[in-house]
Amino acid sequence: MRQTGKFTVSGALAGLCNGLFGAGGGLFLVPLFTRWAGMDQRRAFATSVAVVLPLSLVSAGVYLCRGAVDLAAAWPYLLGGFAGGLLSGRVFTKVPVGWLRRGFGALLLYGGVRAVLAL
Amino acid sequence: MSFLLPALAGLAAGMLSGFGVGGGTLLILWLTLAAGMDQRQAGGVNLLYFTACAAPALWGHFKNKLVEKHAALWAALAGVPACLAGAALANFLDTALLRRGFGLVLLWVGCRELFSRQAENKGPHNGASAGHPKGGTQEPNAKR
Repeated sequence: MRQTGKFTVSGALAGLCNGLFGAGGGLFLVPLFTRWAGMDQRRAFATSVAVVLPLSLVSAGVYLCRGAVDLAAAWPYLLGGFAGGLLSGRVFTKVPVGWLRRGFGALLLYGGVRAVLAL
Repeated sequence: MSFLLPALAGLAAGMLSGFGVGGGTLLILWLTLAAGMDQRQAGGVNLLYFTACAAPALWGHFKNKLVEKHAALWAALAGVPACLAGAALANFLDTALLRRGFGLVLLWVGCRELFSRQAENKGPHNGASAGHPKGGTQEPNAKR
């Protein structure tokens, strides 16, 4: 089935990015799901979370085994993240995604420039 | 302070991650630019953080019936070996190189996010998907 092939390729790209950079699987999944597989955007967001969660578990396991993570520094982020995740599940359907994405894009450009120039 | 700021950053990123808008990516920016971690450390923290924040968000998405299970299953099946390969590669590469590579991804995605309206108009029409021709603030399917 063609759709299944698209989902498989999208997942593989997301996995590579997730393992390599420790982030960003969703950056590949959402556009591939919407523009390539023709999925509705909100569903693509939700589905990408369902994909990136198991990927992050696997990658986090690898990073942890190598001792690459400072747990003392990590746990406040975990607590905050858990609370944020709880909130977002509740208000997800009420948020103006279009504006969120523009702000997000601007932040990414800023971060990207600094990262590439190693500032 | 050393607890509060990270927790707040986690909260903000967590909300965005639940929306699928890339909170994890923003958290990496915070960790590398404000908290001074290298890319690999930041990635590790972000991966742990994401598992904590995605679980409750995902529960909400399942309840709202927004998860396409067939797509999620196949993408995850392909993604797991790919992320093992990526994580192995991350261990060998220099962290400065990793950061630059990540920067390129950010630039690409950032451009696409900002200029997606044009791209969307040219691309195949997907019904209620990404760009709004008028840049509206509500999705058509937002009132479920």
